[in-house]
Amino acid sequence: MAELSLSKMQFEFFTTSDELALEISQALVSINCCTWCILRFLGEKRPCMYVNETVNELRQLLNAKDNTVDCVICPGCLGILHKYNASDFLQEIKSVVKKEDYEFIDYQCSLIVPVCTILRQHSIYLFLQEKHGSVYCKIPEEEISSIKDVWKWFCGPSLSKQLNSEFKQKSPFEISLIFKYEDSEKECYFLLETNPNEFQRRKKSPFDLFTRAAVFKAVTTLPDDVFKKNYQTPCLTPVKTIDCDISCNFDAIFIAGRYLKFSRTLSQTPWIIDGVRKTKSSVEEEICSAMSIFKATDFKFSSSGREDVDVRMLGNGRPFIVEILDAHRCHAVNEISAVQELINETSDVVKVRDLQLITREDIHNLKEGELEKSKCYMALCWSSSTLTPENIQLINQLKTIEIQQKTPLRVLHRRSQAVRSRMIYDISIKETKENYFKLYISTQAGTYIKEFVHGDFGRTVPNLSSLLNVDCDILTLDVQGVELKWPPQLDNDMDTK
Amino acid sequence: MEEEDFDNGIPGFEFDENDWPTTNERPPPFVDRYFSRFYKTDMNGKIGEDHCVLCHSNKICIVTLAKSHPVITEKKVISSINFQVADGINRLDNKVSGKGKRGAQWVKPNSALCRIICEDGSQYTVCACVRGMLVEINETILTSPNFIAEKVCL
Repeated sequence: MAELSLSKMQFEFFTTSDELALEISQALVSINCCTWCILRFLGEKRPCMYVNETVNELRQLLNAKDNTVDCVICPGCLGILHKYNASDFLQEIKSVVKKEDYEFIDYQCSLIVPVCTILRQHSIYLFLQEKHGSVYCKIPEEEISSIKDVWKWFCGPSLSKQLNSEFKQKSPFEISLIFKYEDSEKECYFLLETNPNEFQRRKKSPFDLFTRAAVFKAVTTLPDDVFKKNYQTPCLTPVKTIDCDISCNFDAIFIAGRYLKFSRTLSQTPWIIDGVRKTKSSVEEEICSAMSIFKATDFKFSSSGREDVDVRMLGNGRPFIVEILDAHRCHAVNEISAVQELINETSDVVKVRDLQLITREDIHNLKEGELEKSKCYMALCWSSSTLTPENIQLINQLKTIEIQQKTPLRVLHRRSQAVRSRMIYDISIKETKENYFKLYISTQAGTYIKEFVHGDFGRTVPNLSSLLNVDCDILTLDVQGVELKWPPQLDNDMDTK
Repeated sequence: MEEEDFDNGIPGFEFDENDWPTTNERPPPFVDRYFSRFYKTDMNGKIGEDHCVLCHSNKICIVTLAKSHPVITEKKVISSINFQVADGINRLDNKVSGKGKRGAQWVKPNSALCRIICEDGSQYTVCACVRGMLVEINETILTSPNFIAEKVCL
């Protein structure tokens, strides 16, 4: 005891009086608080003070138990601070990270602590207000450093060393330490009576009933006397031990590009009905399979509109985004041009261009103006009587036309019946071959081209057949361009058919 | 994910390097590419009043007069169509909403859809031929009743 004194240790507590600080410490020792919790309840907020030497010295000074050695669980942190802080635990974290086989540059570590710690902290705080009101009645509860922060201050540097990596707050690689305490919910039950409005039972799910936010709100609004009546103050020493689940996750990586589709039997996304595949593959799968170098858990594919299975996507291609979830090989972002080459070389039917890394903030560009943008097409059509030069001239001279389209019969089973007004911006017939002709048409997004050609039993008016007064039919359709100036074009060469 | 329409293109057609078909044959008509034709002859016991129901793979059916129906074979001229098929049932009152087509009139095979009145005084009843919900009436026949007789096949 002798040479050590609080003042020599140069702490910064809520109180400047050594005497008071000692009394407060002893009060906390008497309820079995661990030395870390004592430090934080005393008001120490500087990370540099949460080191082994200092903690041990303080424990000696207070003549307190070592919670871990003496197997007494701290009522404040449930053991998180005094048990899960040594090299054995850190090595366990390291081995999990290694086992999950992630490539990462830096990391962030997030702790999820049991919800009942909110109640426990509050009860200790009220206990301290009772015993030492002169100090604690002036200190708002938020001033007490959280369990999460203290853990990171204490273990951060060693963890960094173990992982041989730097801790960065916004690192895309996240190590989650999820602490579970069996009786956490039980301790919260009384809140259902004191704050019934706070806790809505949704769909009989017990899991999300006591959310952190709801418990926090309830506790802060509950009057002190009501709280003390319902919850032991100070809180009891826990009997059950805590568990920790260690898991890792890598932030989503976003890649954008444009795809071309040369097949008339390929769907854009996997098409499976009742377990049976309707098309052998899909644009999405052709693209995502080339991204296996990321060793991701999953992919999410989205595009700026889409075309039917039997329609080719030509021209500059259609913009798309792939969200790469939980990539284990993040360095693959340096190999994106290789991914593009891989797709273009292995697939006959899908080509990709302008493949590039983008940020989450760029995503909105994909869907922007989806309704206003125009699309241009080339349709191979047939007419019941060969078109005359007058017919062709009539079409080529047409300026902007407005058409009314009832929901096409072929989609009427899954869409509601409506009449949609759409604009045709440009239309011309450039080449003919006997009864066949090539129609070039540029329309507002959302226009059903096939129905415009054959009329869909008169449900699209006007339609090509009605304009020409000749029965027309459509054989094939190609999208020649999607008018979206994003993602930015890259300089690398790409042969387009 | 929504079911996409598997438009299989035109089977049997091939294209050259300039994307023209290699044949000048007429492609199978739009109606036959999407629909199967089912015939109901002598509807409701009336000889010759044949109906043709076009069924899409998505289960939407279009009720039409078969080529062998007297309106077609005798080249009748239709003067008007009456949709009041019974007391309290007027097919024009049919209003559907939403994907599920709520509010649609329910019809059975021998439910009347409308009555065709020709210039020469003859009348013919068009029946549903199938069970189902009435989704819509082709509006063209409201303004040009003779459309039924004219457009035999698209």
